[in-house]
Amino acid sequence: MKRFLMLMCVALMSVATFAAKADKQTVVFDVDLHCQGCITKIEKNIAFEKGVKDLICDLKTKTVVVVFDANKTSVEELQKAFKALGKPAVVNVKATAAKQKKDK
Amino acid sequence: MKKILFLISLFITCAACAYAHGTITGIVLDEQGQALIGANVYWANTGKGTITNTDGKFFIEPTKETHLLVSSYMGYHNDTTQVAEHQHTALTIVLVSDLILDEVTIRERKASVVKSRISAFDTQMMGADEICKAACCNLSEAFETNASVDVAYADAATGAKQIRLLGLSGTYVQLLSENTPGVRGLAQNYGMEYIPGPWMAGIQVSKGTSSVINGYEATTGQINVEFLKPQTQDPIAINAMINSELMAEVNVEGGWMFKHRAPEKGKLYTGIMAHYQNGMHAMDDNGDGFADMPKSHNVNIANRWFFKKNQYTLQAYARGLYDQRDGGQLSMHKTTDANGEQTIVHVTDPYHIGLRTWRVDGFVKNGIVFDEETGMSLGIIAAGSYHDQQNRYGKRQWEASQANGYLNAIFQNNFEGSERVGMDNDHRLSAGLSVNFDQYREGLVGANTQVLSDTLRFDRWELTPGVFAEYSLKLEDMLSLVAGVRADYSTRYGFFITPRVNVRYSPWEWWSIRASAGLGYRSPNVLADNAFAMPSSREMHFCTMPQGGVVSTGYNDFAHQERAINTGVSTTFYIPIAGRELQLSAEYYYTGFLECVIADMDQATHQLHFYNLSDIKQMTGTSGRSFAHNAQVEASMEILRGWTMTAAFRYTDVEQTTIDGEGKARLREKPLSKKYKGVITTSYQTPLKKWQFDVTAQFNGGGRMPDGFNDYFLDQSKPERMKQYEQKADGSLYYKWYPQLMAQITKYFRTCSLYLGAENMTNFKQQNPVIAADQPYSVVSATNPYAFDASMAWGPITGWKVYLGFRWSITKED
Repeated sequence: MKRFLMLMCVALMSVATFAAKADKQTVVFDVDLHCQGCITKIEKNIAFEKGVKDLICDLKTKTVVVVFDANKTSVEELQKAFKALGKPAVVNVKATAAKQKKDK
Repeated sequence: MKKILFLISLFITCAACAYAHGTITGIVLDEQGQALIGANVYWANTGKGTITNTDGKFFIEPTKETHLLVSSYMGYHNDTTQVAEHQHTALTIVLVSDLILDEVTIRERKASVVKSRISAFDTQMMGADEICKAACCNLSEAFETNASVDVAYADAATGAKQIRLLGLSGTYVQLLSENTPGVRGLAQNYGMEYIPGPWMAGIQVSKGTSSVINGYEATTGQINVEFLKPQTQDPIAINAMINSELMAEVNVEGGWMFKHRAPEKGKLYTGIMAHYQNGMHAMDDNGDGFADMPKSHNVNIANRWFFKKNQYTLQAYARGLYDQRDGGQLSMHKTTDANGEQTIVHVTDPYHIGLRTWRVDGFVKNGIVFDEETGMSLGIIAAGSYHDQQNRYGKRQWEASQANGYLNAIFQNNFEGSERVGMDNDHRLSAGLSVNFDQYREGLVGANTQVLSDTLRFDRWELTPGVFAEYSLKLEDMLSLVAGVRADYSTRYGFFITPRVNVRYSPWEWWSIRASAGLGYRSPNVLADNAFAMPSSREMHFCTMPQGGVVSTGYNDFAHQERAINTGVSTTFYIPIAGRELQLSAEYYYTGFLECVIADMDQATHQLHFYNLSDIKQMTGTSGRSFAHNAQVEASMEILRGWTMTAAFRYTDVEQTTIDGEGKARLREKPLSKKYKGVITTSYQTPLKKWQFDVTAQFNGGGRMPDGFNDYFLDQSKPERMKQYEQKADGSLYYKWYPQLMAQITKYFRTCSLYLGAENMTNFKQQNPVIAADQPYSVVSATNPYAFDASMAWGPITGWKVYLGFRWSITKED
């Protein structure tokens, strides 16, 4: 068990270092979120889109923050994925700019 | 919170002015109530739209394509409003500034166990996430990560699991399925296993006295299970699991809406839940020739319906079940002698344990909301069940059936301050009537295993009509109070009153305190309550004291109605640390019995005596007592994003008066209960929720063993067994504490997940839980002081096990 956990840690760490090399970008979408069910739906699907690195849904502000690898996907691709779920996503320009500034 | 409520109420407030038929009108405001000029208002996914005028007002023609109206404005979050088919009143749309965004950067990982903050009841809500943390084949396994509820094998031979809350047996917990009678009466021994894990959408565990609405039975607490609901569940979900003991199970669930119905006829949904479980062979992990886990089959199928039309809602549920277990002595098994040589033993007349259960149950719930604003509503719940079991324990036979009918009508109204429901204060009155009917037919052959000629009958019936009223008050988020009383009349036990009160006070956001007190009643089922003693050679002696007023129809008639007082206090601190929250809670509960049936294992070795608590005075001259003290502390926190941890420690002191061999009353610790429990559970979920790791460690404190077995358990020639026990100065024998460790890894994919886990990883086992396993028909004599007994289980019977399972589902479309 111990060995397994250690292996898992190593695996996680290597994923992290790999991710650092990728062209990580952040985008904030306005999505019409009503309830926890909408969030679960997005988390269950968008997380498995190619290039998605992190995902934070917020019911209060009705936004979804997506961190993605620009080499693998794009904002348009992500928007397509959201639309396929019946949850169209509109880029929140102001918040995205604020996020990107913070990241730098 | 207030702000949001204010916004919501503004949002749903419709101005009185009506415009020309067809055109939809409205106003777009910011959070301060200022009109937004030039805001875009358009139908979702169409090019049709307009902008607001200088007053912030808009006019828009309805469209057949969509009912979703989107409003947008620079620097504000878009808002989508569902517009009714014939919207006559003006809409008020409030847009929220997106400057809020920077305040909320990291979403907390939603805890899977949520302790209610505002309810007056001390309730923990366990979601499906928590239920999925362990193998959780069924309800009895859902509590492995919970410090308040203990689950342990009831005996060492049938695989039956017993729960304890606040240190007392699960019989004193009211187990409800969707607020209808769930696991009760005859079902209590295996009933928890009749609720498969994947069927459950959530579990609520309330400690201490609870609402009077659901009856008078809850003494130490209430556990309510919510099943999957057809209106929200996935159209199809499949779950399959197998473990290293070759126990396999498959679950299939699905819920669908009847899409082709005209909308004016109301919405109709149906759902199916099916479960099959097969324990392919009887396990004998410790090689004593006696099965630790019986061979088992379980088929369980339920169908439910949901109908909603305007203010009327109907829910119906029906379930059928067959459960079969075969265990006991194996006809052929290997033994290893002191030199390590193996011999095969053939048993000609094995002690067979065979349990057969058939059960059907169901409920119909009707709800009518008369006034949505005040929440004035009427709910009528009807439930029924028929349970039949035929159990064989060697030569002992217990055949029993129970028919139950239940009706509860509840009227609710928020009778004051109704225009401000959910705002500053909230008064609610619930009142109603209920009727409960139980008919038991029970026969026991072999109460004394040496005398098989007599069948003892335990037939009885009871009709209990009652009335109740409950008042609840909520003053902002600061004070909640629920006070209820009910009056019932039982055809067996007469008239009785159940008062209960729960209060919660939270002067600051970071601190709250709760207190509760109330009475609970229960009609004892002497055999079902003590079924753990069936697989043993203990002679059962039923109190034969004459009772006034009750016409004797059976052996159960000596038993009085059980009555107990429960009172408790608990406090919780919410401490902010580095943007997260540490929850610290402490609680103390006391349960004191005014009357109960005592099952006395101490009076004589290999005997079990049943008598009422109040009879002790008559029999010994001293009055008896029976009570439980329970104290618990718990800390829980999300330490890093996705990583949560909970640590809890509990002390329990359960004592009861029994009559010793010399006929003297003696207040002692209740045998086979545990004094301490510690739980540390931690869970980590990767940011994208693709992996999840759960680990739970428990230590379970020692407890007293029934008298008369000291020499057996402390036998020097069996060092493995001996080191699990210690003898206290007063001559009582105690089992020592033991650890438990379990872990699970889950990998999530888009439509399915895989899980791999292990239980009892320290491989701790109670040594020789079955006494005289090789001679189950033996009689106590001078040369044979210890006859067959599988009733003294206190720890794990089986060693470590590994399980592997998957869940797959098609996600519900909106």
